[in-house]
Amino acid sequence: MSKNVLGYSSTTARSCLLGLIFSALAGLTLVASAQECITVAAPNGLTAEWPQQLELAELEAQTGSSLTFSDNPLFAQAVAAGQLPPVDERLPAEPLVVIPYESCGVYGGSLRGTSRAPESGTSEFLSWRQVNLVRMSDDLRTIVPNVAKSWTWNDDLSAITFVLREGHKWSDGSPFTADDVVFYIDDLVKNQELHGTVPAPWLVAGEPVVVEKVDDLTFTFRFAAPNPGLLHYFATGGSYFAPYAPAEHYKPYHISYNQNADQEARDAGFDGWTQRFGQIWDKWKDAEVLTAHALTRPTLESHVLEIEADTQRRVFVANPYYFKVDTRGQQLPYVDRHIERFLDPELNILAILNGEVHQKAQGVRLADYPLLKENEAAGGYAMRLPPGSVGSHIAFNITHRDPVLRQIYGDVRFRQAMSLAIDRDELNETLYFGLGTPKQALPPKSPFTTDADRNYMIDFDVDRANALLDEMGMARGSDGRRVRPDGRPMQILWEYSSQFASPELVQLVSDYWRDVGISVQSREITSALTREKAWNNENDINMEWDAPYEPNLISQINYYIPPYTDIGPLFGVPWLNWINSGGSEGEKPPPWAARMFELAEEWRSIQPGTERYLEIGRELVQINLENMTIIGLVSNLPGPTVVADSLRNVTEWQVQHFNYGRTYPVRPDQWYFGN
Amino acid sequence: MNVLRFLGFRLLSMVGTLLAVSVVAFVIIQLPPGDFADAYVAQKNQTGAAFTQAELLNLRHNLGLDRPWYVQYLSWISGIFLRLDFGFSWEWQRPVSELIADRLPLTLALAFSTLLFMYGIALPIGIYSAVRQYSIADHSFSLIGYIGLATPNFLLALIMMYFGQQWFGQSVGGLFSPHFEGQPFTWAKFIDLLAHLWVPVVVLGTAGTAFLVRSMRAVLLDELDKMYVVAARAGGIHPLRLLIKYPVRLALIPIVATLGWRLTYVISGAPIVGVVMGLPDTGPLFLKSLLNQDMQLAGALVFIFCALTVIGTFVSDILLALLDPRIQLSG
Amino acid sequence: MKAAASARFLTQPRGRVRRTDSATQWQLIWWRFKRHRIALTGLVVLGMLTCLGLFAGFFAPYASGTRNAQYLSGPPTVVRWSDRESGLQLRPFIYGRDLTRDPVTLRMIPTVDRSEKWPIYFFVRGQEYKFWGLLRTNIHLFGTESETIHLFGTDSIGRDIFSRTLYATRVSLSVGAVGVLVAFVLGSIIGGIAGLYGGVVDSAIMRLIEFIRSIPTLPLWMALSAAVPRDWTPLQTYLAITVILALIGWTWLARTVRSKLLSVRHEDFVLAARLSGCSDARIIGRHLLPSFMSYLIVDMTIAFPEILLAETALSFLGLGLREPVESWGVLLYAAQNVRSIAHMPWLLIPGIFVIIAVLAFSFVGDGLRDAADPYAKETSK
Repeated sequence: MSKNVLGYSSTTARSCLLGLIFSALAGLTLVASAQECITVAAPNGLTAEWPQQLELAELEAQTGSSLTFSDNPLFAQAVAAGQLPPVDERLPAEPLVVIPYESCGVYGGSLRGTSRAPESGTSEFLSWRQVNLVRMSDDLRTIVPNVAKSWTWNDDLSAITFVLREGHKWSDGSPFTADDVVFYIDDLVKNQELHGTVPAPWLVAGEPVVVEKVDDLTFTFRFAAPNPGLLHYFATGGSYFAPYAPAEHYKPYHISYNQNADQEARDAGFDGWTQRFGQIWDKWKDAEVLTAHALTRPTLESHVLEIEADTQRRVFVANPYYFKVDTRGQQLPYVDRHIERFLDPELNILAILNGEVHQKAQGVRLADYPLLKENEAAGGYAMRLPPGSVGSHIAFNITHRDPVLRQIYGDVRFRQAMSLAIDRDELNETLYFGLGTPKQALPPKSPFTTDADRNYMIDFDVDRANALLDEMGMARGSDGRRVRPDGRPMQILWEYSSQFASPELVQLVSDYWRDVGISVQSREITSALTREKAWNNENDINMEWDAPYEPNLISQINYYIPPYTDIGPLFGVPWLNWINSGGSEGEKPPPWAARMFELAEEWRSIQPGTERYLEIGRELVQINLENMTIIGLVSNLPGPTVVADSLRNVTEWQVQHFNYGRTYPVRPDQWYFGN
Repeated sequence: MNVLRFLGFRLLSMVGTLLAVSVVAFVIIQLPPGDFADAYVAQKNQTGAAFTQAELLNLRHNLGLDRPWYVQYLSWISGIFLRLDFGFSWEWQRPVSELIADRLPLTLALAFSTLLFMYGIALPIGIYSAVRQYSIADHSFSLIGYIGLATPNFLLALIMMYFGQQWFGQSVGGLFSPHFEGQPFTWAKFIDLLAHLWVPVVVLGTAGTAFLVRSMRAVLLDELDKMYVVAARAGGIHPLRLLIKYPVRLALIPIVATLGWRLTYVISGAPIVGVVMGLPDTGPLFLKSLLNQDMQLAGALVFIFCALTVIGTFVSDILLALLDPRIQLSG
Repeated sequence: MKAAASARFLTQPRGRVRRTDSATQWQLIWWRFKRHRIALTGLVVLGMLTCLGLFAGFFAPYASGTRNAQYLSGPPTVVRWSDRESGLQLRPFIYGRDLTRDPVTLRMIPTVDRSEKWPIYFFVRGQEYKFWGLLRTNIHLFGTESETIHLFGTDSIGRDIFSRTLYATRVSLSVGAVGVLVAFVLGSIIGGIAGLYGGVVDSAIMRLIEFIRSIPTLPLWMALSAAVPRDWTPLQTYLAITVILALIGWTWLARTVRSKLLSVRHEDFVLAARLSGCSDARIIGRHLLPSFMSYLIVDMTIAFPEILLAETALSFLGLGLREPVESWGVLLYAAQNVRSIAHMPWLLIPGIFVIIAVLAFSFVGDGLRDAADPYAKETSK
């Protein structure tokens, strides 16, 4: 079957559903009477192709009766006054049926949350509301329909055709069609004035994507080469960048559709149409809700902006045209409003203690867990500790500008010694309450890593570390410090930003290294500076704190080969330049690094889960480990999260990761307030 | 004539100072390495989003950050003087004037409440301490005052907030409880405001109050020693009446005259307290804009703080000149 | 001035030659200062703080940066002189103790084990440290045999707050001292120029001072401290921050110097000196400066706390000194969060040092001001 080409056979997909939804009653045709609430907890014999959700037709076929829709009383007045059509006309002809985790909810209430700033990495409210063509299901492997009803790949995975839901409407009631996708690709992504170059996911093998509209509900993306990672991109890392935009809304501001757009923008005080457009449209969905313009811009999300952000808060209200219903036919979302306040970290903690925050994960530090846990009852919330990030990891700059340092950091024995000198258990106990796992920093949850990989050279072995350093010829001087090849005492200049390490972590690691004769001078600097230095190849040590999860790695393999990230490289920028320029710039990478570039190129075109896919994954892991490119410290760091006691249908979180906009699986559109 | 010349001269030099400060402020704000585009990318990176170097350069170009600083400055300052346009905040994606209109009233309200608090507390205590010099109360007031002076106010703010939350369940991060936010102003909301306002007012006011008590006490002591007081007392005037009628009134002159300087002091002390307490005043806005190098917002705030400082000094000079005829008005 | 000052002592009956007749200005100040008891206390406290800072390595039981992995986030150790069995003892001791992590909240819960007693010994040999960077020694004022002693508790990675506070005392006081000194030199030179030459130079300098004062301090600090080159060592950075603080502090000193100069430069003794052919430099150095030196010292004493508080404020904003340098501000920065106030209030102890130091400086300043002012009232104190 075509939907499931992702390397996981339908049986795999089905079997994981088994535990979640299936009951022994699978044989029954009529599983439940109409309007009865079927839940994940009590499926009543309902079977579904995808976990926790199904299409209306599927549900009606199994229950034998058609679903009657109902909606939030919030809209009743507007409906009665004729300002809003009744719910049957607002929903798509084929709404997506969500099977609630615990129970069908009751409407009402305001969900209170916090964020550090209107647009930053600490706002759940922004990641929650995201909808894209597809989403990642709770097993973190299966990709399931969302805005799109279905999709079909061509044979070599270079073209994909999506089918939308009939009658799907934007939040202002205007129809959502394939035109909105074509507009996004042709007039936004490929517009030279808005984007100098076509952004990464849409540029495959150097060629931009081609979008074709088949009919109002059907469109095809064509790429110059196989692009199997596209769905993973939509479902995870790219979930902020839905590939559609309300065309009719944006056309008056766009030069291709309005010749006067530029003059109008200038009259309104902008430098030109692109500047104005940049303010009302952004590929970042969170940037779009910064301004009052978002009050009029239609969206497909569960909540639409009601009060724009001032410097203190912003309010979202339920979208009357949202395309999902529960198994009883109630339109989602249940919660009337999302109210988000902007608070600094310490105030955020106080607000949580005071019971003013219904859910919070981003920006809650592990160190605050004891305080928050102690005050659970008083604040009316419960703490959860879902597994979190890979944890801070360290990379020595193998391509350091300074020739002596390059010689030292380029020596794999040095990097191995540094890994062996670290007491990870003490690190774990001292900094993370012993909740983490000492490990090398590998992509989490991947089928091609073994325990041996994860534990490679993580034992605390000072003797072996010393032996390796001695073997390099770095003898100890009179003050106990080891001497560099040029006779000067060895000292690492460790400049870190608080984004990747705390001063405590740096002190502990520096202490361990000092014990094997390598002294460290540390200094906290801004992340802008660390990046600048990283690009100039001046940093001794660069750091990262997370890596993509395995099924998503395919769309983000750049994170696992030099220079590891584009914006804050770990090392190997000259190698990348050499590859990109075809050998005319930069430096020729060593064979092992060259092999990584090769493997990554091949990986991008291979179906996840296939034998070759696993082989490449294994080899990449091996190369990274053998060369000790990255020194992992303590992984699986749980991130404390807060959930109000009154909140229902909040499923257990299995992971916290930037790929998923933080805690996942998360379905806030089915959250509601119980007693 | 003399007064008018003096006023004119002062006004001119105020404008000059403002302009000079705006240039210097603009230069020093952008002195640290990196710019707003870098800060923006850093924030985005925390979300884990892949932001490419090309996008960064694109952003920098779109914001005009690739132009030399003086070009950026000229386009900004000419906007202020020609169109009263304070520029645009990249971080908040709103005109700076809107943001300031949003926040400045509270800053001023907070400043004036603090002034009221300071003078309301300090003057009676100062008078009492002077009249009952070296009494136990005098000593304890000055000790408390000194401790107030010596405690870093950001520390005080955080401690008071924590206990406010633990003991009274007081909401934090603003001057209103969450359920009053966005509601029209009512009596209940006003009471709620007062319940929140006292913490920052006390925190901001402690150091200044201690200083005022000491000045009031010293000046009044000087007056009390003067011959006319001794003579009046000998003449049998009721002590309290005498006190209020002459020495206190005279002692108030220098105290009241420094009102402008006090205002300046409160306004410049406010940002740190505002940051710690998450007050919806200009403090947090200012610090964030500085850290993110949101140039036009930071520049405009410096401009306004500076204007308040200059005006405060001006008011004090005028008051002093009017209240104390011995002071000569001269450039 | 001298005449005015000594005139008041005429009322005090003394035998033979009165001390005050032959006393120098400084002696007079000291005599008056001594009678100001609070100021004297302040001076003693300052002396003690300076001593603690100078000999931090000796007074601190542990070297800077030492971690105790067995005692994370531990509360202060209670020193005891008596227990139930043996009653009062001459040698203080501490009980054995244990820290366990609460399985639910993960908070460290301390338990005291009264069966174990560890006496405190004095002048013990412990970790090696360098005495003023010169002398290697390992003598510490006090210590215990096995169980560690943490008078002010430990931080989240097990560093002894008492030791850190002492090392921080050294840094913070020297930041203040260097800052005040730089401000003093800058202030007297610039103020001196203004006061001596007057006219255009004077008004230009006065405008400059007004201008500097109307720049809000926060961005000025931020920009300047962010502009400190990043490859500087902690020590260099620390000096740079000090100078930054001083750059803001010199203005008031310059004003004092200027106004004093303006008021004394037409005094008879200056004229007399000039007539007897003294050079300008000699007039300033020998006659003018000493005549108002006491005022400057008062001003400096009062400036000290301001610089101390500024250092803590800068560090609080994350702009001043940073780990691994230890200063009061740096230590307080680590305590600037709700969890510390709720669970580890001992992290705030460095704040008490700040308060004590500021109080002591203010008292000494007050005392000096009274003592240096020849017109001060002779009231009973």
